[in-house]
Parts: sequence; structure tokens; C-alpha cells
Amino acid sequence: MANSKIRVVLVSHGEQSKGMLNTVQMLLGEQDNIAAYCLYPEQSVSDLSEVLEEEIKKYGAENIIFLTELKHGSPFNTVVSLTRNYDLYHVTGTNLAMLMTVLLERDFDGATCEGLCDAAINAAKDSYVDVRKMLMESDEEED
Amino acid sequence: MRNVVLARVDDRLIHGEVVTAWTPTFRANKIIIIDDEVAKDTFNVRVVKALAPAGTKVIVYNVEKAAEKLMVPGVDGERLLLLAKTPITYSRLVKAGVPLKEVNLGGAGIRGERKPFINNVALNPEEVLACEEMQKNGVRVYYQLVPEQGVVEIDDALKKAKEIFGLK
Repeated sequence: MANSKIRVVLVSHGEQSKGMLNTVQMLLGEQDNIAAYCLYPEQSVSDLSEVLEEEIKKYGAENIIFLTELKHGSPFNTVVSLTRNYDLYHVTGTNLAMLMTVLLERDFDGATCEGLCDAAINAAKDSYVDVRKMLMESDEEED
Repeated sequence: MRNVVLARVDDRLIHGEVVTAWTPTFRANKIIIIDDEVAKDTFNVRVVKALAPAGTKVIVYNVEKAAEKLMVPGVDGERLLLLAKTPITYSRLVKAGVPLKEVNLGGAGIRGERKPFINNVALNPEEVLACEEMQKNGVRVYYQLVPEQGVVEIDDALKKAKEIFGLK
């Protein structure tokens, strides 16, 4: 497996990020250059901010895509507050389709963080569907 | 005075509970953050405005400006949700002549001299006194995390906090 140049950092309330990492590795195999951070109830936002800043210092803001799971949630707000000092790539609303797309496409030739953020958003948009309605609409179509 | 549908103390300001629970429940269409420090911080002001929850506009005022801006006649259909990091802010507004009816304590993390008050709200002595003063001035101060959860009146917690801090 090639070493990915672009690092993915998942951040979530509780263990969603660890669970996502676990699940995505079940689907795509073991991944390198990815990290999952969990914010627990007893933990302060400033602790989370510190470990995320260490990530940025170690890997460089230009090489990381942050994925947070809830717009306006504390993990999201923590990453946003770090944009005071760093120019970050950050997509919120993490879901599995989005994460799979980012992990698959980051190894493409010429992959950029900017391009991967666009791909992440498109993957998420394609991924949520009211299946019952979709099936009913499909039934209504003429043969 | 303009139409304030909720005045909340929450030191996380705009975040999950405010966006997904309070804003739709009260059909708020303008969120006013009242904080002297945030108002001075151009990065913070830019961020909160850019990330305004769907269907809302976010405005940031310092306390002095808020007192002035809240007292102008309201516009039809306007529904304001006020957010402040500490009850002291609302106590200052009340003193400045803004007739708030209620203040919702929603979230205040333990830092500095703050000690647990009710659930996820911790207050320092000055904040405890600010709550008491507002109560005395006829402002109902209550704890409620999200609309689905019960209201907790603060009288018992006030008594206890005053004992803990040795306040008269």
C-alpha cells in the first residue's frame, strides 16, 4: 500500500470517529496516515484543541483534511477555532460514503486537499436518500 | 423593545443544542451574541456570521451596544435569540434598562472560580450574585438544557451556591 500524502483526521463527539475508522478499514483494508480523535464528556475542548494543534504542527495544515461529524458541535467548533491560526481543510457532516471517497481518491495522481474536499461533499450528497420514496417514484415512472 | 424569544447563557455560544433544538423550537430568525470580548475579536465575528444556522442571521454586540439595539421598536416577524457566555451579561443589560423577562441557564463550563451550580452549569461567586440580583428584579432565571427536558428553578441552587461561596 502506497503511503498517502494527504492525512485524514476524524474528530467526533464520543467514539464515532474511532468507529468510522474501524468500519472503513473493514471495507477498504488497513489505512495509513489517518487518525481518529474522540471528545468525551469529561474532556475539555481545550484538551482536544491541543492534540489537534499537535497534528497540524507535525503534518502541516496543507496536508491534512479534518472531518467532523456535526456542524456547530464542539469538535466542529474546535477545528473552526484553529482556523484562527491555520489555513485548514475541514469538511463537516462525516459519513461513511464521504470517508471512503476521500480515502480512495487521496491516492490518485494529482490529488489535492481542495479537490478531495469537493469530492467528499459530492459523495455525501449522493449518499442520503429516503429509500421508500425513491422506490415509489421509481414505480411511478413509465416503462 | 424588540421581540426576544429566548435569552440563554451558554459559553459555547452557537453550537449543537442551540442550533438543532432551541432555534427551531422558538422559530428564532436572528441570533444576537452579546459579549464584550467576542465583539472585539474580528476573527470570531467573521466565523459566527459565516456559520449562521440555516434561516438565521447572526449579529455580535458588546453589552453597551446590545442595550441600545434591543430597546429600539421591533420589526414584525423578528424573533431574537440572545446568547451570552455568563449571566453577568444579562444582569448588566437589565441594569441598563432592558426589561428581560426570563434568562435560561444552558451551559457554563467549570473554569476559574466556577463551581457546579446545576448540571452542566457552573458559576463563580459574581455570576451567582448576578442571578440572584436578576431574580430580585423580577427576571425569572431558570435552568434548561434543551426544550425537551424539564425546567429547573434555581432557588435551591442559589441558596446552596451562596453557602458554598460564603456569600450573604
